[in-house]
Amino acid sequence: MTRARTKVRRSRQAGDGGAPMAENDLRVEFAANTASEVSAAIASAPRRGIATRGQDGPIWDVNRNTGGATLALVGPLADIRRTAIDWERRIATVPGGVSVGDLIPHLLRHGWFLPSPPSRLDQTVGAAIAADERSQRPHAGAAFADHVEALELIDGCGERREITPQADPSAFWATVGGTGLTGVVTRAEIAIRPVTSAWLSADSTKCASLDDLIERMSDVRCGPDTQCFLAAKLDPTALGGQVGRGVITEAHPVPATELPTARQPDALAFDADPAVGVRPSGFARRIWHRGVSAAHKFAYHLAPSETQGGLLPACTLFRPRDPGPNECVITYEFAVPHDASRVIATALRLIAASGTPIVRARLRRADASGSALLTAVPSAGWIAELDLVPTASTGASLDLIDEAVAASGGAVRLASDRRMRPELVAIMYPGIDEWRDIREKLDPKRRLHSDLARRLGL
Amino acid sequence: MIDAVGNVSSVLVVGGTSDLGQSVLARLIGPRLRRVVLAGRPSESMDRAANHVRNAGVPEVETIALDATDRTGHRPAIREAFADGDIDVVIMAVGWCPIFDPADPNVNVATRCVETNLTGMVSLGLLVSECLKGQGHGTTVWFTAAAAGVPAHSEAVFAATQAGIDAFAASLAEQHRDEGLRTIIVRVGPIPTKLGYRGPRSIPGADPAAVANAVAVAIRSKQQSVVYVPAQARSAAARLRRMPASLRRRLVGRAADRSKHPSTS
Repeated sequence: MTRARTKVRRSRQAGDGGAPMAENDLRVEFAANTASEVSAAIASAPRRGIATRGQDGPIWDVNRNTGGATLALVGPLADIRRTAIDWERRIATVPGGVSVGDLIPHLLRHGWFLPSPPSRLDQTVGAAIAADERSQRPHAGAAFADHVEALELIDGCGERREITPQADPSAFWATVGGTGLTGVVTRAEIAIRPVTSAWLSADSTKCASLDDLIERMSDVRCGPDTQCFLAAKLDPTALGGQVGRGVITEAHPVPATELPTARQPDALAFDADPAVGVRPSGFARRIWHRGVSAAHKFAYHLAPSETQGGLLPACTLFRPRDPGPNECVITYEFAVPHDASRVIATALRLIAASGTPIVRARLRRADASGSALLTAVPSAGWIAELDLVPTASTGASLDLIDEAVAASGGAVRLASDRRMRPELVAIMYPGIDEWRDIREKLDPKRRLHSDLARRLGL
Repeated sequence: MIDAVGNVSSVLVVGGTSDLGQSVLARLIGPRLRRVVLAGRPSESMDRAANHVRNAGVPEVETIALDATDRTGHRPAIREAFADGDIDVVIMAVGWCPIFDPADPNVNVATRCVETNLTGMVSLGLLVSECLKGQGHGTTVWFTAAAAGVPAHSEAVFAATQAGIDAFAASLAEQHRDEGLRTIIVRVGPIPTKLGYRGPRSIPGADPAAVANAVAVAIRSKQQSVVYVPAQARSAAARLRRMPASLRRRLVGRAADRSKHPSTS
């Protein structure tokens, strides 16, 4: 274990009226190569605890620990070459610090794919489990953790535990969605499925209103055995009766034999979208974000009303990489039950009314799956994912939307939350008390901590 | 911690009954402000201020006894303020501007003024800074006079304390930058507060509410570290400082005369 007190001077780049900037520039950082080094790091955590963060990817409240220490899994714990694939049992054993962006091409190279790939490539496998990541699949078993067969967890006492959903369901389902407060995942066994190509065949439908979109998305039927990905790209500039209009994409994997001949030789190649290269600052950034927001409008108008059988690369299942920790975009992600789709329209209207540019808006259908205690999707419903550039009045609007989401029985996702009020946690997450009991056993001294836990009083 | 959209959830006001502290607090009060700590000499006005904050809907309001001149009590008081959780914003609003007769200076009053405005504030500032470093985040707001450094005819002692505290806060800000903490220095022009306002005449838009607004904007913006209220004070102070002494004496003297005899202006 190497312990370094490093002074990190981040560029002072403030964004549109209140850029979220990491406030703590002096950090105690631990880097662990092995599980025993993770234990040692947890044991020597300072008073304000320790948070686990990935090697790359954005630093949000969930993996930031201001005034405390952070732990990064490095070396063998983040080495994709340590991934073992069991061809008989169809299981990949992956070190916890490997990023999803490394894992997916590695699996594809050997002809495998994840049944429910998490939406972000820049997070680690451990983080995807702790965040209870959801794929775009619209049926049960759509959570990434539903396909995790076993975990190696270093808990808050520094003890190494092998947990499976069968042998130790309470620890397992507290860790899934537990935002990393129950322990550090150092190894995961994930079920995988064979594929012959990294391409999807997609049908898209343009819908002129949210009701239409919701209706069509509800009508999509595909069983849990078929691979089907369903997501809608919303036009955030639309208002009035057209609020929430967008384009639905329903995609299925394509066998290599059905690909055009030119694509067949490298059918399993996976090219993730590179990080967005443009990072304008200051006033230019303000115009840029408005422009991106308006581009959605053109994209909607230019989209054909219906397409069938278009080929899409598998990288379209993931969100583009975030350009960096200083980016002033915040992700507001919430889930609402099936019959509360009007909350999505309310949210889009309120955000538009506050003058906040939405640079990305996605809607997914989610089915209840797994039994994570801190899951945002306790029953079947909708997940809306909005990337916003906060302005002076964004906070107040989001507070109103929080209330509406909580009243409808939905929840704001903890993993991407950066501003929610602590009172709402108990309403949105009814399993919180049970989760706290289990956390008490796994981390009685509260050594694992984060800014999120501190703000929400988890 | 100030969150991603700029919500402040806890505030400590050192000098809980000061006009500027109160007005900044009133501006920050909202549904997201959860905890307010007022530190100051126990008094009726202190209780009134605490009740006012409580009535505005802040769930946790604490008062802590603190006397700027009693330096032994500083450490326990500041520790107590930080004991129950992180503090996002600390407002340093202790100040005393006694009326001096230049013809008959009272040395006791003068040293007490320095003890309150400078010695006490330096001690409190260092202790607050220590606690903020411990929690790893936080914003400190300092109030100083825009005209600090401009020779004043009648307020030599007050001017000295203001120049001192300004230099101290600016240097502390540099230190804090490396620690990831923020410091906002608010250089205040002639503004009517109970500290005593003996300026030439009121400038429209220069009142405690304007100060509060400027502070709230600076906290949100994450860019501004020095704020002048009113904004004209920045150029006015710079010009007064660079002006030939004879010209300044004539200008300031004339303004002082005018304020003494408002009917003739």
